Amino acid sequence: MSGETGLVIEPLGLQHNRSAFGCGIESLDTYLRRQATQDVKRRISRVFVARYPRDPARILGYYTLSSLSIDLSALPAQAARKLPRHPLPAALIGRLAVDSSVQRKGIGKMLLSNAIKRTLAVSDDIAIYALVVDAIDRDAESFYLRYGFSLLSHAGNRLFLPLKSL
Amino acid sequence: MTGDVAQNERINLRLKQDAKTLIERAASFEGKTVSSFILSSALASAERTIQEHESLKLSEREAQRFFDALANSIPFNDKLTEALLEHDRRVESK
Repeated sequence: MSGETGLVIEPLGLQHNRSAFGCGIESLDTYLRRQATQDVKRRISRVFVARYPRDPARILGYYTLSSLSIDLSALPAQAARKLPRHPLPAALIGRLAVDSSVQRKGIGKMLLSNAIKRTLAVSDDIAIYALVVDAIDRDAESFYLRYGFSLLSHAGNRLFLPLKSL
Repeated sequence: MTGDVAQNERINLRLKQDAKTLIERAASFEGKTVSSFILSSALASAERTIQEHESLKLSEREAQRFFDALANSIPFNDKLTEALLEHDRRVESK
């Protein structure tokens, strides 16, 4: 359960200690260590980290956010006519992870909430219709399902949350 | 590339003789220098790659599912609404 300790969530920077982060899933740790900074520099995605207010270096968790367009050209013509734009603008949480030492404290849901808030804030300028996530495993999938995401397909690991109705 | 912006960046690359010959032949067919041929081909390929990664193409069933979900306004569920409120109390977002 969450003890509701305060958190700061901010863009990944050089002051953050990326090498100390460990969430128990190797690919998510390696991403933060080796690739995240480059992705930010190349504007492939934005990376945000959670930390305690008094500990500027220690990363408690992170998520990546990038833009994504949803290609709905497979829709039947009648439905397609109702689309305001095509393709439809969306946002993608490609990765979301919490350090093993601080799991089960509600940090994951704060990262998710932060991603939704940032996406909605941008959405004032450009309407963003959905938030898409890639769930790395079954646990991640049930995490997103709890917060109202739906599976995009039964085969894949992608889920989505409607943000704005058509 | 736009003509009025200085092209100051460089990429050096090493390649095998036969690959170079092939590129030189292709470039001459299009009346381009080898550099401009490589640049225009790489840019086209980069655009395509980025497009593939940033665009999510849905099958008919997925598209219909997605459309149906967005056709009616669906409020966030209780757990998410609660989480967003907790975020307001607990998180300083920078």
